[in-house]
Amino acid sequence: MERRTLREENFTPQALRWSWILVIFCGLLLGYYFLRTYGQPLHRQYQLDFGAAKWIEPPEKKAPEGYFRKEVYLSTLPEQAWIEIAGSDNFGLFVNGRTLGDVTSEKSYITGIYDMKHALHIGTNVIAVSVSRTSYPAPAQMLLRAKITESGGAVKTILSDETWRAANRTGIVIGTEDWKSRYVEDELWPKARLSPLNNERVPLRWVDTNPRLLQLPPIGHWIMSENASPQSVFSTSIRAEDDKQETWIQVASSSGALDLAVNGHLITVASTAVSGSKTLPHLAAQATPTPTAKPGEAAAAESQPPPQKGSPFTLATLSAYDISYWIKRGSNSIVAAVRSDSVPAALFANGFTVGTDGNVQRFSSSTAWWMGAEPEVEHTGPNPHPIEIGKDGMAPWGYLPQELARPLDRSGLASFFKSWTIVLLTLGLVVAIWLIVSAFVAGWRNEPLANAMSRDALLHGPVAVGLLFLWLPNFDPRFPDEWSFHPVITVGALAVLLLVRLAHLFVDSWTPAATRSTVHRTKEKANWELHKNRAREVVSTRLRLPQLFEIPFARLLPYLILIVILFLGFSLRYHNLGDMSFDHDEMGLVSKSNGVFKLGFPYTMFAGQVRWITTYEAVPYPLAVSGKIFGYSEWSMRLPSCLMATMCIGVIGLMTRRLFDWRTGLFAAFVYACLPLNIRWGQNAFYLSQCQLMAMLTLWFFYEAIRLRPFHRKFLTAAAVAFCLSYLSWEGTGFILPALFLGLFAVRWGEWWWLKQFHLYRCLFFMGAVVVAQYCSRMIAGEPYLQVGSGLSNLTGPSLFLLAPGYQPMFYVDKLLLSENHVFFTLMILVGLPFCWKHLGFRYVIVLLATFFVLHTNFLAALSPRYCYYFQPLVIIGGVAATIMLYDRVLALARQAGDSGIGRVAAHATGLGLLILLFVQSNESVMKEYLLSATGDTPEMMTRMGTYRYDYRGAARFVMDHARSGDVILPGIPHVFDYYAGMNGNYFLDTLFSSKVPYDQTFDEPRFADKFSGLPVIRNVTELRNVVTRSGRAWVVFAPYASFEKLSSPAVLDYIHQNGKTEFESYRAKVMLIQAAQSAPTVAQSP
Amino acid sequence: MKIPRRLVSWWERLTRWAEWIANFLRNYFLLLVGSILVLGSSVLKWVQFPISHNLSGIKFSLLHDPGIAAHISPFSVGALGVAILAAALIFWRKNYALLALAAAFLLMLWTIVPTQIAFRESSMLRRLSFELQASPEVNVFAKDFLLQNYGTPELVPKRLILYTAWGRLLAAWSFLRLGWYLFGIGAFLVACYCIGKLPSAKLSTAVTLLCLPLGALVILLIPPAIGQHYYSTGLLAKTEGHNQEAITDFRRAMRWDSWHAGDVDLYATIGQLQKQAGIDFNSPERHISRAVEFRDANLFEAAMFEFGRAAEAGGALAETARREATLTRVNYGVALYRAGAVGSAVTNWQQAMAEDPNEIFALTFLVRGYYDIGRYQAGITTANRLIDLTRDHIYTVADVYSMVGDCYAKLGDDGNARKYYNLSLTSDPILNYWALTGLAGK
Repeated sequence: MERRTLREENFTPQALRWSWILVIFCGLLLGYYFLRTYGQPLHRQYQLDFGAAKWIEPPEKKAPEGYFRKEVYLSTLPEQAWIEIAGSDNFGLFVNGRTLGDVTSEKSYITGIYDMKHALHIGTNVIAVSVSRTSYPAPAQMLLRAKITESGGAVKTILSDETWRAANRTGIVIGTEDWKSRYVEDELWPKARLSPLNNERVPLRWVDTNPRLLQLPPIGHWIMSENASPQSVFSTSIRAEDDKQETWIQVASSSGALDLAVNGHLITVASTAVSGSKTLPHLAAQATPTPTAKPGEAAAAESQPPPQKGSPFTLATLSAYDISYWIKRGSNSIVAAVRSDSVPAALFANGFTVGTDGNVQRFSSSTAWWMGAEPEVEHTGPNPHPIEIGKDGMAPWGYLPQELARPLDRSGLASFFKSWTIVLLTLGLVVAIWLIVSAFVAGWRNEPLANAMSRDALLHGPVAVGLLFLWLPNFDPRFPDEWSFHPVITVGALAVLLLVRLAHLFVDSWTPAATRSTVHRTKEKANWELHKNRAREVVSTRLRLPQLFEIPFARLLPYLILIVILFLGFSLRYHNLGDMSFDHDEMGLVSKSNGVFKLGFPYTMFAGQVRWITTYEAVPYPLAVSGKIFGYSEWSMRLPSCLMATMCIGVIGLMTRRLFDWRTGLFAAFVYACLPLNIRWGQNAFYLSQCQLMAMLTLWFFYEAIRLRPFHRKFLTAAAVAFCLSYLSWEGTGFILPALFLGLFAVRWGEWWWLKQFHLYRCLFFMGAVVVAQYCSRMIAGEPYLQVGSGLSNLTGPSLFLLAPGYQPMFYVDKLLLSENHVFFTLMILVGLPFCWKHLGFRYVIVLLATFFVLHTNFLAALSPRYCYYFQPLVIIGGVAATIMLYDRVLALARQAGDSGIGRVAAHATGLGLLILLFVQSNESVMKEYLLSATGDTPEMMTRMGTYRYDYRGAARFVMDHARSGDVILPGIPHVFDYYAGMNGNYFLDTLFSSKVPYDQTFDEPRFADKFSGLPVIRNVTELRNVVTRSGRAWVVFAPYASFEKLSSPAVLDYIHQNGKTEFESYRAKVMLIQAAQSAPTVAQSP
Repeated sequence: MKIPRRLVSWWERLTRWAEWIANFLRNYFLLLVGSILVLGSSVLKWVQFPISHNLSGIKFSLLHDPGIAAHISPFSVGALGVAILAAALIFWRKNYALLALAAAFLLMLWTIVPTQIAFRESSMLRRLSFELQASPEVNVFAKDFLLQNYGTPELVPKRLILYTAWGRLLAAWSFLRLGWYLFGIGAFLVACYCIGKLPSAKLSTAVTLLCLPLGALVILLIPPAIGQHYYSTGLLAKTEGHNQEAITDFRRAMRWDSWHAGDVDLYATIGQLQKQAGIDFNSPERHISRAVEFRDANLFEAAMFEFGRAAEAGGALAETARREATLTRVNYGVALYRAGAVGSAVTNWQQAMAEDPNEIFALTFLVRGYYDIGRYQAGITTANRLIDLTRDHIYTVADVYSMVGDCYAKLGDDGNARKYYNLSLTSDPILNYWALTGLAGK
């Protein structure tokens, strides 16, 4: 009894609160699983079956872009034709020039299935596929299967294999015909080769559409009422084995006006929503204007079905709906109302249900349907059934095009309340079970109820973490979206939650003392001490490090682990360091670094004058040193960045250790070392790694300085110097100053004595002087140049961006806090805020993070994901710190709950599970959490490993190898071209003034010139045409390709696309050759 | 070095002030930040309109739709919020329970803003969604008929579900901007401060105070929820072929929710159902139904005539018919412009603006129309009016400035032309090719 009282005394209200938190969290999570499994299931996804189709790729050695063609001859129009396709990263599917699909998902094998019957015609048809790959280094790969059933019943199966034609560029034949055109001679294209992927198991992405919709042979009849009424209601009933059994229906009507209801729930209304029109109104007499082609796309889509003129019948489309959500066990009624003004109301419907054993039951419109809204009810009319007027394919509608998977909107107040009801009921159940079990266990063991409650609550922790783990695959493109929401998992989790209570039986037998004695026995059996002493002796004598062991090993161990992490981080960053081409940002700094050993500072020459660097001032110096030692190459220029990124791992580890403890520091360093974003920027010579390192040093040193009273002067000085270096690496880090100020407030809350710290003002003055000097330098350097165009240099400092129309308050939330590898860190910070806020280090990190976020969002009138990179480690540190503090809290709860082995194991399982979860979602080693971002699968350039930015090198070397004397070269980014090609370009295209171009008076005829290489600027299509005509041949380097298309005048693009031929294609880069006075044949010829 | 005594005394005084400020900040930090947020937010952007100018807190009236030319209103959310907070701080700063009540009022004001837009003043949501629909049309017009400004147009919400009450609430929320969020955060901080200062029963006080905003929300949600129920049952009755029941339910939905009362498609549906049931041969709904059919077939004159017939009925239906007639006239003008009948187009746009000055997107067309027919001065006057109404949208305003520049250039007034091209470039410097070439030549 006395023992019981002691335990009760030890128990705090805080511990009980934590028990409640654990149980409620687990209950809510389980409630969500129940909601998604039974209440509101997510849309089903399907894996496509490609049968005997083979992965193919272009025959060329280097082929990041692939173009595939296949000709198919049809003697009659098809009654059914579907095509399924998979591509590496991206594919565009075109049938006779008509685009059927164009989807992208970086670093995954994206798939799609399409109805193509209306793109086909009698005669030769061309199926064309383009694949544009950004993941490196494999080539563009494609897998395809199609089936065409002709009207007579003849079936053609098309599979991707070596008979397909493939190339790594479009311009392999002379002529102006588009590569997708049937007039291009197929024989001139090389044959595709089989990909090594055929020997592997390729994880394909899942599709939203049940392939059976397109693959099952069409059945059903058009039906109408006996009196051919313009308004008719048709109904039928179908049987289902289970609630929400998978059921699809496809419907079409004679008038286009169709209402569909299933079991009293309207289906069709949900598809209408407000969206702006992309066309202007026109007078009734005017013909519908043809859509304008994309700039440069000379060939328009072929054989579009002509609009029906004068016919009262509208074009009917077979629209598919997934109605599983409204299906209940037993009989289900389907009601379809068709309304028309001028034609009889007719309906065509077919569908299917999928049984639990996978068998398919089909249903379709027929005379078995009923007129009126109530099927199988005694009707008083003359004929309660409709009449059949024909099968699919009958005039005037023909074979119906199929519209796939129209999204159904199930939002509404009722859905909202229903969802919460399910979640809250589950929560209530979990809490009730917890209380009942705790009361029972407390009575049985004769222990305080609070103890039993806490121990039982701890058992919820591993279940909750397990559910979180099982949730992760839903965000991996290799798994379907609803992977974890299956009855097996949901009910299994509930069962585990119930069964785990059996652990209470072992509370007495599994105590810390018993565990310790078991460990001791195991050590004795394994001769632990003997081995330990031997190992120590070996290290002391052979490695000659006896002095090392004068330091207690426990103190040494964290440093050793940190060194191992540093090596791991360095190896990840060093791997393939020089493989990829420089991008334009890197090259800008590399070219400026040349000046360091000439004049002592980085500069470029323009119009015969020195133009010193006005931004990223501190970055070229390490580049210059590396260049001096190792020579100029991708490897040598990226080496400083790689080293600084590796040093940053150490800084993060040590800083976090000082802010929190060693565990947090080491884990944060480990996560940071393996995070793809940080690895990628560590392999890039741009300013980011250096800037981040300096920024982190500033934040760390400042914290060290303000921890003590009075401030530590040396650390303050070091922080000031580090700030200046980070500011000179990128001016945006000026926001560090206000952030530090607020951080000081947070750490020294309510204290004011530090105002008297004179050294603080000295440092502030020093930093202010550097900032002002940099600003002046920038102003002075820009003053003599007359420049026209848009550029980031317009941005001179902070402004009230929050008042500007372009303001995007969620930008850094999407790009940093909720981007794919940061989501769980952000969540853990939010979870940790209430209980970690009192921790000084946590408060410092959060205040800095919040300040940076607010300042960048509201006061920097330029948005880019890289701008938040310098404070990105704070997200990792904050998330890891919150997790470890949560771990400690749960462990403390276990100690308070009787310190039983069961409680401890549960607490450790919860904490370790959370840490593993944090690590797993932070990189691509186990899971590829590409869909976890707030914005979906739309990654920024450096967020995934192994993706190529821009292949300037390949494009430049191709031109260098193929250009003849007298040819004119128009490089996209002249200074990168100069570096790789070893020769200068001739002109620079800037037709929309999208780049800033200064005025160069030194030309014979003064004009605008490119600021890096001094090339004269071509400003419009007339100038371009003149240049091309004079030279005969002009090479246009489209790199980076997307921005070139976006930032060039449509007239220029049209001219280039119509007169040029793509000679080379690579990662986001193309090279086109324009030949002047070229006859423009309409039909392609062999070269 | 000897420090002068006066300097020392100043330094000591400064230190005492600093200590006092430190204590003050420590004690009133939450209240201070919350109050600053509430005060500051009232002048910030609360509602973003895609074309017309945005609405700040002090212009967001709770009594009526502020319209395209909103003014500061004493009954606006911002003004009321500031007044409540000021009164609470002056009179109740020692009584934390009353201060907490004031915070609850602020939270209530904050909560009802989306419901105010979605349900109480549905004309505002209608204007928002209409401007959203019209802005791509204006962009297409600019792309087809004007010189190009290749900059990126403003980002506005793209897809709204307006046929459910829940969807409308989400739609209204999607137009809310920084001011509304800051007001809410400020009110929350003030509430936290007050509850933190309460000696006991903090949780129960917090829950009690939370009842005020939640209660207001529930009260405002009940009528549209009932309207939604009738609307859904009406749609189901329509699907099952019960036309009379459907019409009755639709009319009930209109009574409960003003959104439905102004929905031209719902009137057209009723008209179609009446036609199919063979009842109410000359009803205004049947006129609207016919008008919608004509409009969809691009028979604008016939559509306007039918809308005119429907407008004779009076009430909400007439108002809707008149609004739709004006929109049809604007579209008719665009269709005429495309066909080359610029003079007739201008006449129609002028008439549309005379009928309903709220349809300001027609002013963009009108400016261009005046330019095309050589009425440059009229173009400049209209453009200045448009600039005044759309001043928050730099992309639109930049284009209008460029149009004025074109007009002045045609009038031979190079100085003013240069001034307006410069204004255009200042307003939108990113890829503003139109203004750049206006200044530098092609």
